[in-house]
Amino acid sequence: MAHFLIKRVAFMVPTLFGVTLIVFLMLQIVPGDPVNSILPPDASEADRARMIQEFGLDKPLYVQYFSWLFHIVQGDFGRSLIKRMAVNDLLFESLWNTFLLSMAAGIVSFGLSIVIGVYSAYKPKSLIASLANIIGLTGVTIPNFWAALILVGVFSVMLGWLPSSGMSSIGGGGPGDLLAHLILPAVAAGMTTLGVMTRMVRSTVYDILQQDFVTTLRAKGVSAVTVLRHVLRNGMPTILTVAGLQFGYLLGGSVLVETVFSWPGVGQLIYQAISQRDFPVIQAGVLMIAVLFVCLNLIVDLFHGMIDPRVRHT
Amino acid sequence: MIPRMSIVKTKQMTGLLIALMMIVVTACSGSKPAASSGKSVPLVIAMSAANLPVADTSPTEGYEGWRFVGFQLYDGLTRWQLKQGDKPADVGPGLAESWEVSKEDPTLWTFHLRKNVAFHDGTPFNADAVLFQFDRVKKQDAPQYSAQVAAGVLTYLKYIDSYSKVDDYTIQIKTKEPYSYLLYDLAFIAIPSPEAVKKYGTDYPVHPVGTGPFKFVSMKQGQEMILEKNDSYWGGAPKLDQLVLRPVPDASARLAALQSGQVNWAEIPPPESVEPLKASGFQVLLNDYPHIWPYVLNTKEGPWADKRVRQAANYAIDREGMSKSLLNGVAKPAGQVLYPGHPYFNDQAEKYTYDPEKAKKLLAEAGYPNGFQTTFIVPTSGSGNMWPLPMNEFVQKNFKAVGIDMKIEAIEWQTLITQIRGGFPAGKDIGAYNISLAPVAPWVFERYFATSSFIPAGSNYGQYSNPKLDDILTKARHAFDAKERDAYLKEAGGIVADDSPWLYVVHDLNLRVLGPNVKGFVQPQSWFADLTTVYME
Repeated sequence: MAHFLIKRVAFMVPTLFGVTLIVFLMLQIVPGDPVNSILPPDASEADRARMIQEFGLDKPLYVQYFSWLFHIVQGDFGRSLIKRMAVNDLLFESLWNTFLLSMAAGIVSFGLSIVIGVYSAYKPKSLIASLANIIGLTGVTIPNFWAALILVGVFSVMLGWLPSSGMSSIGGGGPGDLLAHLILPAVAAGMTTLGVMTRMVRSTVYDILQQDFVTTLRAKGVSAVTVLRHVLRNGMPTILTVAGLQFGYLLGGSVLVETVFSWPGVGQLIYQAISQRDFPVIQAGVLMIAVLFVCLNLIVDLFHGMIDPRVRHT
Repeated sequence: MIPRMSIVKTKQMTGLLIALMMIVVTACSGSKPAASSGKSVPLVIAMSAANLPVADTSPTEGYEGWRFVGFQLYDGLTRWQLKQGDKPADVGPGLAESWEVSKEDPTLWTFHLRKNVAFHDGTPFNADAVLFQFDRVKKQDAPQYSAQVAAGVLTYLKYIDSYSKVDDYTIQIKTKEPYSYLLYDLAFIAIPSPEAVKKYGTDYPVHPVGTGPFKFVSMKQGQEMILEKNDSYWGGAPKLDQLVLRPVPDASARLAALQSGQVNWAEIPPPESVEPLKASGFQVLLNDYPHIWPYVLNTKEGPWADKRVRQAANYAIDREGMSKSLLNGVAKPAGQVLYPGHPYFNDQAEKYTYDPEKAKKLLAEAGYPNGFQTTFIVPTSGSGNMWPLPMNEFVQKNFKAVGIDMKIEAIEWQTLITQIRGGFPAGKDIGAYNISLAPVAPWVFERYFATSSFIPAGSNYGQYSNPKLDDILTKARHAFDAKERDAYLKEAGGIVADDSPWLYVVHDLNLRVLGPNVKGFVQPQSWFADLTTVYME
């Protein structure tokens, strides 16, 4: 297992190195630069030149890249050119916010989808199975930002139960306050995941239930719970892989939900940084998302290894 | 196939649902904004900006940043007077009580500073504080010089040559040439506490200290900025105890926040929400202000170099239709840079009604009886650009009817800003840029239409040039009497209406909706706002 872990971690290094290079180079291709978004349109060339020099954008590309790399290895992402704050302060707070949102969305959708999925695989003709079908289809087909607006319309505007945006009431609030602000965005963000996962869990479990070993188990007269345990263990690798991917999407892909709910997450941060060409923030943000994605994959692989010995030895 | 459900099961399901709802209700107790003890209810504003403005003396987020942060935390030597809504806002005394221009040398201004004013941190305000800030944005070898802060106010520093202290409460400013618009520029040179700038250094933006009506309390990145009233404000303390700013970039989200009572003030909710909001007791505010949604034409080459073509296109646009049916009355037709009632609006100028026949006639005269093809570069979003895509498609249809085949090239906002700096690339056949440029001060005509403002010196992107206009603009810049100056600028307004180097489409009406309990606010004819008179009921 240790060998497996070391191998996987070692693989992460070139991956992340590649990400830094691609992120850095892509920003060079994008038209526009931070200087243009800071200076008024009638600024002179001398003013532009002074800003470019101030930001160090006049140095050769490889110098810029390696100096950036040198600093991030030491955990320093530099300063935001537009917001004029340390990128570390901006980034880690918004990463945490996104993580909260993704966790909430993930817990709700993974939990529900396994329960619903397994149940409807066992009883494909039940009412719940039909409902699950509807949930699956709606989750996958309804765009999450639209669902977000409908949720806000019903639960904030009409019923007044939950706040429509933000992360906390004015001046902060306790965990209850945070939870109240978290429910709607988490449901909106988790809807797609719930849809995808429910369908996936159901078909996986259904397929396993048709296999011979299940029939054998049943013929031996073991309890239903034991059968379920075997079924789940066999289905887990597939479910885990998809769940890991889905969680990755939740981390990186909630920009629209974050925007509708004014949730100050990393998706919003990067999106705004892109529109302002705030290079240090974009680079750090994309890199951190990549790091999380890679770590997540590692965790999923580790689980795989634990569940399925075959994986460990490949 | 849906199996039939037994009554027992239905009851179970209902019970489950009710239980779920109960959990939700319990979880959300305390979600309404609660007034902190001893203080009155705060005013919570949903800004349209995606970020909280940087609270330095050059706030980010464009004029919205100035509106809610810059002009609330700080004063300049002059200040926008925003307490009335029936005439365009003008600048008046700020940290300078009075001023005079030397009779012998019209480039020399003397400002008499307000006494007994202190910054929010207690530092006394005086001539040294003013000079400290001028050095901070103008003197590149000063220790406090900041290129980023300077960048935000470069335009307003253009004509300032030098400045000096006469005594503790008098300073002199010398301009590069006689320049009567100086007072408008000085309103944007906000003065921070020199002590705070020195103390916090690069962290100053999260510890801003000014002399303005509101003091900075705290900020949560991406969530909220809390300001509280400055009890000793020289212009009279605000009635509000607390002001909370929230960035809510999505229009529907601002509407929802307003309707659910999370905020009591929303900037630009969706136009279609105006009627329902009015019906449910919200205050829907609209007013003229210096905004224009135009096309900046390529007057250098191609069909748009011909004045008749430009006029024809102006006659081809159904502005009433766009304002009423597309924009639901949150904008009104524009035939000039400024609106009727504004001192620079010229009622003698060409009146661009909706007249497709006249447009066709003019096109035929100009040698395009069968029209022509042209490409317009338009933004997908951006400050002041309203709803660019549907509005451009509307104009596209209008043009089609008179034979002008307008191709829309929609590009992202920052890319457009970058591209427009290069002007109109030769031989590329680009007819116009759609970009909202704000005519907030008397320099508007000079900045966008004077020959001396060809890029990169100014923002005359289309290289429009008219010696008569240049002459009038010089006279206006040198006219120190406001009436005389406005007369020249009115003449200038007429020339650019007739010559039409821009196509004028609509003026936005500054849609803003306030909760029923927000009282005392006057919607000024300005991009900015005076919040000292506002109170909560």
